[in-house]
Amino acid sequence: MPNDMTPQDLRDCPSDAFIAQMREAYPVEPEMDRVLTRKMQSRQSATFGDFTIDHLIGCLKAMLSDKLDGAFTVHDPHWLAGGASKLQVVFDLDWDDPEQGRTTTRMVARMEPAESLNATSRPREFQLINAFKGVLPVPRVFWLDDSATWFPQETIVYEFLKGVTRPSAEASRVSGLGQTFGPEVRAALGPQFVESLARIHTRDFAGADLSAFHVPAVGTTETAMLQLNRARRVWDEDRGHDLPLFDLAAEWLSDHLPDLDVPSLLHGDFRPGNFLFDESTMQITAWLDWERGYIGDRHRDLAWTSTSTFGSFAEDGTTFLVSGLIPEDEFFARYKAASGLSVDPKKLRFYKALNSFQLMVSALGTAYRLVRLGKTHQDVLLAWVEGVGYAQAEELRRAMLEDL
Amino acid sequence: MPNTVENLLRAMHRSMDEVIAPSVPSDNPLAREQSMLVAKALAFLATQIGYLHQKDRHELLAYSDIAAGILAASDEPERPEALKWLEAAHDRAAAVAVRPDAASNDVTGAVADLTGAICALIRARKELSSKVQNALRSNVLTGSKPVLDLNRSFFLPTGFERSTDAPPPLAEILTRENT
Repeated sequence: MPNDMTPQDLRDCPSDAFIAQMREAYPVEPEMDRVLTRKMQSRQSATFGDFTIDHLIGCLKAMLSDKLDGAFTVHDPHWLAGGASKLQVVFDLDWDDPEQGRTTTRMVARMEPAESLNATSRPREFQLINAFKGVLPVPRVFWLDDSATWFPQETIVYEFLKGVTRPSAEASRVSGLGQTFGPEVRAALGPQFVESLARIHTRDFAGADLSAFHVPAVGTTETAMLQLNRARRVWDEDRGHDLPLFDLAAEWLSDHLPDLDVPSLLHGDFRPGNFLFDESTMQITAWLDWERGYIGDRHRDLAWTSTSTFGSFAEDGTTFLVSGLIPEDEFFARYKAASGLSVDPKKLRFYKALNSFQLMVSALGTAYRLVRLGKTHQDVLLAWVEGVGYAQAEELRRAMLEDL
Repeated sequence: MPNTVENLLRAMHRSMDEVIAPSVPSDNPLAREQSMLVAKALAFLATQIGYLHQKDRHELLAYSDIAAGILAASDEPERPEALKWLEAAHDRAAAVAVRPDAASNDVTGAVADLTGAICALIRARKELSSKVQNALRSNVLTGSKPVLDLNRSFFLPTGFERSTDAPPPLAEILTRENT
């Protein structure tokens, strides 16, 4: 019997042997192994848990009592919306800021739910944001609870930055997917968007504290293999059904792994919804959601940013706009000019296919499992994105057909 | 007795959309986002629920076609185990497919059997002759298109299709494949 999807699905409550089997079958970066192993171990016991705002503020106060010497007050806490994976509470803190003295600072506590659509590393997010301080507009990071000492899950606390994710005149899209921008907004934000990506990929990371990251070997397929393994492992940990096209694609991708020429810091989720801008000045004010970042091949970011799901069409109905902001040809031309880096069409094709594969994992595998187990604060949103998986599956299928 | 489930779903959608969602305080964006999504999900269910069983049956036929294409390429006197599994799953699927009164659970169970057997075959592909390997690759690649079209069309109202060649409407796919 080849089908292991029994009614008492072993993925609902994985055994230690199953967890060990996943780790052995799909080697990934050490930090990702830690994150994914912890995800599966916590699935053995927990459900959603007590993630009320009062409870989380209680956790926050306990942490601040241990971290701060002076008196402090937390007030005006409320939930933030807009993302598809993390719990976010915004609050004001009256405190003695070591840099500014007594002040009130608006902050965000960003925590994993019991399980997340993307199991990611808070230490990586913490280190990556710090690595771009002074290079790009990023929030000031205050604290990291990397071992869930005070909060129920790993949590990062950073500065709340002002700005909007979309023009107020435009309709909101779930998690910013397919967000549209009018011509004037595009003209102002498009060049900044590309310039920011070039800065990320050309950032010299030697000397930065990036201990949670793995630097892949140049001239080898290591980074591509590790990222493919990560997607395959998550699929095998989370899926609720078999999908022949997925398994065929996994073999096809492993036969087409590209070499790495230059290791770059990657944002990992560089798209609308993950940056803020000031509507009056039309300047980008913050780059957020670095949780998927890693050190690897820039083509992964380039392919992700230009994914169809994140883009839209211009008013003519035929010009595809990368991330809804800039025509594809112009996007790559500006990127090459700003970064001085080449764009290899063959590598771009591979990473577009890998990204479709990754989106299938999230939309058809992880979202299914999390909703089934009631693991997040926004299960209805996760259930809603299933259609993304089939749209991306068709793109992947076409890419494979072109190769035959 | 008429089936009133669609009516109920439409009523729930109107209630969420017109009464509950607008009354959610604006300073609770998480609740606002979710109340709007619940309204959309109810509207989606109301329009699509009537297609569910038919959609599952079409998926069964599409995967049966993939399995048949692979099995047709196999002329070995002694088939490898993975091919025998596929053959057995294909036979069970055929028995379900010819029953117009087959329950939804039987249909989805047969689909799970077939997809599980095809995936097992992909994992065991090195045990197969090159002829069967080629048939496996080409049948899964081309045979997955009707499955994806079906699901892309089913989820079209959720608004995540960016392709300029959107799939045909679901009713059209189901009618076309029925004839």
